[in-house]
Amino acid sequence: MRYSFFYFLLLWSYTPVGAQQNVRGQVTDEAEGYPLIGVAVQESGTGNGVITDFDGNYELEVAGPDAVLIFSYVGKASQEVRVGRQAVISIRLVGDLQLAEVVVTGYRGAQEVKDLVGSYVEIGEEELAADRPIESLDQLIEGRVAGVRVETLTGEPGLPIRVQIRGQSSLPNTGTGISASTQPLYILDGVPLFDVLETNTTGTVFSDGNNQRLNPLALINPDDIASVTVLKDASATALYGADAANGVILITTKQGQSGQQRISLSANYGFGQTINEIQFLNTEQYLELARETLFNSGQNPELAGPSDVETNWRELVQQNPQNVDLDLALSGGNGGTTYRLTAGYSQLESVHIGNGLQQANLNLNLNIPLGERLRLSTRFSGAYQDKQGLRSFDVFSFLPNLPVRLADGSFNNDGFFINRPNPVALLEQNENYQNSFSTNAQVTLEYRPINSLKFRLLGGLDRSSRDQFQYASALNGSGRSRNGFLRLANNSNLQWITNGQLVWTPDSGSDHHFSALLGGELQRQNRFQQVSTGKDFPFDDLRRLDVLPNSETAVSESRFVRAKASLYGELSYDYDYRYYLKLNARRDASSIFGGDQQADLFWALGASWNFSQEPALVGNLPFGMDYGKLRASYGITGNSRVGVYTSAGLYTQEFSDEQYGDQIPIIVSTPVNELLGWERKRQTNFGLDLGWRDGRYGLSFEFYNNLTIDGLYTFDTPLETGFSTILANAVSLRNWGYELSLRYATQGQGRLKWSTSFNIAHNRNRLIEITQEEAPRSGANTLALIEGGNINDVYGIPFVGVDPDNGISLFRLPDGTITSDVDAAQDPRNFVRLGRAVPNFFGGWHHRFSYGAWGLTFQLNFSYGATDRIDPLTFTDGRQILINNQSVNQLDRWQQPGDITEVPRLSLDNPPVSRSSRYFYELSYIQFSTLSLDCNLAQLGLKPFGLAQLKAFALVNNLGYLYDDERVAGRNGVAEYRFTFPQQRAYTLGIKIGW
Amino acid sequence: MSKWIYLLIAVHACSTFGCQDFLTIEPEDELSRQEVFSSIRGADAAVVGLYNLLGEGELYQINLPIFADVIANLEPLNDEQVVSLEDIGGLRLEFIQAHALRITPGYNNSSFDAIYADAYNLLYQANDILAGLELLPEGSSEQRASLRAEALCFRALVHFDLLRLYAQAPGFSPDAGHPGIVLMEAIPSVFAQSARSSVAAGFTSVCADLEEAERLMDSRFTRRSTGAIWLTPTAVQGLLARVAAYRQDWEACLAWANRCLSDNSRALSPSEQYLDQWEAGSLSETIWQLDLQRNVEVSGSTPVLTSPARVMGAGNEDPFMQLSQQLLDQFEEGDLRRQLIVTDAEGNRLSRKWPFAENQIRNVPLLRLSEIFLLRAEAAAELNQLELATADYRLIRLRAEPEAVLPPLMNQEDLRRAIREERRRELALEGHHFFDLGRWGADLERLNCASLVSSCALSYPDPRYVLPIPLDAILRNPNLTQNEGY
Repeated sequence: MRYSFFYFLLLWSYTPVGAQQNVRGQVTDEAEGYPLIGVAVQESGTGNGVITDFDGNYELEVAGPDAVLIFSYVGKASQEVRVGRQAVISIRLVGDLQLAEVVVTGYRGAQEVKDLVGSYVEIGEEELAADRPIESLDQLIEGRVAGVRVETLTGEPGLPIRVQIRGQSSLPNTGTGISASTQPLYILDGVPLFDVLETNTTGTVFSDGNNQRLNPLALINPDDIASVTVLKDASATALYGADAANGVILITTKQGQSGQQRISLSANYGFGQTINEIQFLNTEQYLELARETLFNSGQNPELAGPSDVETNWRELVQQNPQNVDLDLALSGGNGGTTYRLTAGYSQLESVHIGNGLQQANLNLNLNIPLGERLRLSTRFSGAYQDKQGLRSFDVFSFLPNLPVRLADGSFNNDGFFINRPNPVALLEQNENYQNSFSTNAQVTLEYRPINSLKFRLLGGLDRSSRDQFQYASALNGSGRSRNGFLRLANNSNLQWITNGQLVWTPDSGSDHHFSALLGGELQRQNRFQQVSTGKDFPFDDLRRLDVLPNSETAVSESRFVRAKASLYGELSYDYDYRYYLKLNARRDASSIFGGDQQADLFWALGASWNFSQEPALVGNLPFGMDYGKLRASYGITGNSRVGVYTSAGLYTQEFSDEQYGDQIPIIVSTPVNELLGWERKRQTNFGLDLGWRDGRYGLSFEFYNNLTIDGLYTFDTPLETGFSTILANAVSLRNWGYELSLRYATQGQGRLKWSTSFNIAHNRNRLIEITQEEAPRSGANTLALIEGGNINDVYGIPFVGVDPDNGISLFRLPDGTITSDVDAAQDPRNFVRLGRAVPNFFGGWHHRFSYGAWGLTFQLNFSYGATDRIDPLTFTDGRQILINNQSVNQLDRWQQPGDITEVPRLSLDNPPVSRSSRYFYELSYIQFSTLSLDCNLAQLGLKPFGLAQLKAFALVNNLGYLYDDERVAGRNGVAEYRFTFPQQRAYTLGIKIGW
Repeated sequence: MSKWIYLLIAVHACSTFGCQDFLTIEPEDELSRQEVFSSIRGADAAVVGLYNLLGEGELYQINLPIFADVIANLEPLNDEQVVSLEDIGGLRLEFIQAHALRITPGYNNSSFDAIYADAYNLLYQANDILAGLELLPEGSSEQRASLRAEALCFRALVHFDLLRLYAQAPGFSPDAGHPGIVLMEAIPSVFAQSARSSVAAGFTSVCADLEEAERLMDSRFTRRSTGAIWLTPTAVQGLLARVAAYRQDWEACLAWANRCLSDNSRALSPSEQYLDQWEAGSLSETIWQLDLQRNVEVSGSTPVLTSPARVMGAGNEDPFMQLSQQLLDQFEEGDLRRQLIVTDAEGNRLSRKWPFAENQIRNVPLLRLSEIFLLRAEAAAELNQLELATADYRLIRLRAEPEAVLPPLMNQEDLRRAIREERRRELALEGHHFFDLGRWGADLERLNCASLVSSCALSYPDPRYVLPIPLDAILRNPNLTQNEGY
């Protein structure tokens, strides 16, 4: 609104001169496809110009074919187009990299890029609009921000995704222990989101294994996101204090725009197919190997079972999933009030039958001016999710010669299926679903008593509740032993926050610029969980706990409350937009620890130098460089997300109904622990930002060195202390690395536009100090905590092949001797470093092409040098062949003296060597992550039904991978072994219309 | 308009800077230590927790009540065809291994190693209570003292059991200077790597704790409900007598036994009720037993599966072991106690002291009057007070075998042997005999050992009179030394 007046002035000032050629067209917004009203269209070098009308149309008489039109609009990059012989010139304006580059920084709000001192990376609306994520926004970050790793945990829709910024700065928990969260802190419009991956439930009925969690980010409809900012260094994150050590991700939602009311509707349809499935033995191959195994083991080969049954278990539980997504948005505003209301519905199927997610979202943003200097804004977001969770992926390795049904048509539930449920029966008889409802709302009041002073009050709420229903039927192997088993779980989490802050930005009237911020914040979290279980159901179809006698039911519950009170402040100063200095600090006091570790101060100091603004350097920088900045920061942030009150000692009742002589006994569950507090991280960051030729080329380089001091870990303790493990802050861990981002965007004339960005990151870590070193242990735990070592190193025993004479596996001991002694191969003392579980470097490469109304987006992700341990279940060399179908790679087994192969002689007695290097694969790949083609049909003149906006797109997600792997035709490799839940390639078609 | 803005600012400022209470949140799922020791009710529940912990599976629910008998009074089943230990699995293996004296420091597949960790876990709680009681703002001084006495007694009892299991008896070396156990007399720091002290120091600590407990304990406070399931000063006196016998401090043993026996509230179970009382579940002469009834569920047979009844209880159709022929031969034909041994269909000898029945579990007898009489007899005999010794011996012997013809007075040597034999008979399957052999410096004589037993007999001294310290404990604590011979 406030610009329109300006444009009316412009309109009056331009009057047509001469009239040789008439040009008309429409100007639209690149991202949304809306017509842009009030764009100045000017003939270069003349006073001739016009502005676009309410439909974005213009018409102008120009001097001739050599005339050049300049399209300019606030917040968009200006474009120049040579008229030539075209009578219609319709163009799309993209966000201006130079002008519009403001970044949302958290408490300080939006700041211009040139004024940034810390390390911030923003993915703006323009970029977000082009790549549609399948379900939630964290997937969108993958490959887009240097140093941010996104790990999909399973591939099941709706489940949490793990995001790691700049390496792993907390030690993982090793199975039974608790550790600090490694997730970044998510802030949605100022309200922190609940960290579902918090690990304080391990070993309880509430732990992961029982309790599937849902991704809280799924609450946010990707269509509503205006920007996502990733905060990486101490200067950027210190204002978030005790929760900031893993970085912060700020999510800002879209606001309504003043002006005409707009309605848009988008509809997407998609389908998927699985890729890279593990190839198992078919019945013929299976029998060949199983009989040979039995024969080799001195048993009757006929025990291998029938040959006339061929069951493809995978086909029975797998489907080609389909997805539907519908979004409706209504936005507008007048008289200073703006609104934006969106409603969305999506349905996502997974590749597993009976497993999928439906969700509905509602989001309302409202801005109301209450007076000249007072503004109220509020947001309400709500989401409902319905997750169907049946799964039986171990079914892939079921034996191919087992029938699904017996001759009489009933399910085959005997023998093998006694404890491993027949998957087809499971899909028919079991139930597993959960419903969740999440709301996130905030209200903000902003008051500016004078221009230099801004006061803000914010209240926010994040609440989610989830009901889970799981029934394992007595009719199949999943519930047989308990004669039907029902589990009902309720979880709720409520977090509220209030925040008040004052920002003072005096106008000094000189080149010295100064600003100060002071704020206070209160937060409280309440969690409540309840699990009820029942077994021994008298009638399988009556799945209610109340039909059971009390003795067959059990209830557990857990309550968790914590509170935090904080004070924070920031001082910033710059001289002539060249020299910047920023000091910020936060004091957090938390309820979770006793004693003097309850409160701590976190702070950061940052400085930057815009050297390209130095008068002596302007115009003198090499290669046409016109933007250059150096940044440095140092600070301390913390990680208080531990989730337990353990430092002062705890007592509990061991079992709920336990008594001793009619008295209630209590026992110590957690000892007094003087070594427990929150983790702290010392972060150092250096950055260099360069730009050439008006922002066409850009480069950012960052180096960081983060030292986690007081790292938390669950240590083994001397048994005489009364406990076998203890959680203590006794680790010091260093993460360092560098990140490089490059970007290029065409500017100026020409209809073909290309913008690209590339990023690559390298991270190393080293364990500096640990109270007790832990050598690699046997079993699946590949962790070794050795001072001076990398915590991501994996250890095992090198497998050197199979003895051609007798077909026995050979291993190399550290002293170089080759042995077939299995005891030696299983002895952790003989383990050597086999690789690293995380990549040496990783990154992404993003492209966006546009030509007129057409656009093409392409994203590549890559990762190099990780070592992945795969599930050895499918190549057990005969040991498990009567229980689990095996990989086709087992066909290459040793059969007779002289055979050179990696697969030993098959035998039921082949011992497991779970840490054999044979199960470790080099994981280096390029992922073709996204390819999308979009077209602004409205711009091509297609505007049926009076539509203002008509866009269509087609997209492929996860096209495929290119692995650095010696592939053998017809055999499995790392591509197949990598995921047990098969990966899917998803195709999506969509259309967006608007009035 | 600006009025209510200032109001909001004021409210927010107050809530941010003012309220310390905002951060004071007690855990909801569990009790903070501070909360426990803020009331006598909490401290009392923590002390009750000690009784609970002592009845844990690896301690007195199954392993400790009969460990000494598994070695000295049991033998493999008649049809046991086992040639190598690898052929057996599960719980059965643990007992066969223990019997075969083949427990190694790694405790392969054996839950016997958990005794060590569970014992120290109990010690932690006892020490935590002792420290916590100092913070207790309420309760009479007598009641606080009595709670302290119970915690001290548990600390002593667990130290004593650790000494019996992992250290040679005090008589093993002249001044009992050989390695004992790691003593825990205060809350340790979380990574404390303590070393073993000598057996002498261990027994000194045990006696000091028990003596203080005996002084402070008040049965008005300890007897929280009916039944002999709570510690009393009498019980502490009995334990002191037992500990003195291990130290071969016969005067103390005699004195404490006398003190214990001066409590007139109970008498020896009479002869005519002896078998019935065993059948009913507990003897009227019991001074202290552990209440394990919490383990009894409405359905399912869990409780007996983790009790000595599982190993060799009468009525068990699938026992792990049987009573040895030697033990049976100890009883004369007319001995009532011979009737506590029954033979099942396969000819295996099982015990009616530990009857096996679904949904039942026997409370573990920790101390009963018969033992005190026998301790007094033993002490008197050693002190050459032969009349007293003979009288006490006859009391126990004649109750079980009224027809027995006993010489009116025996010489010291005969009496010592007779008392030892009587002790084995009376307290069979109650966790004493193998430990008794150790403190007597006597050889273990076993006649029927299946081929899997590497050495059937054991001549004193031998490293195998004690268990190895679990390897896991050694690996976690560099200052911990392994027992000789392991």
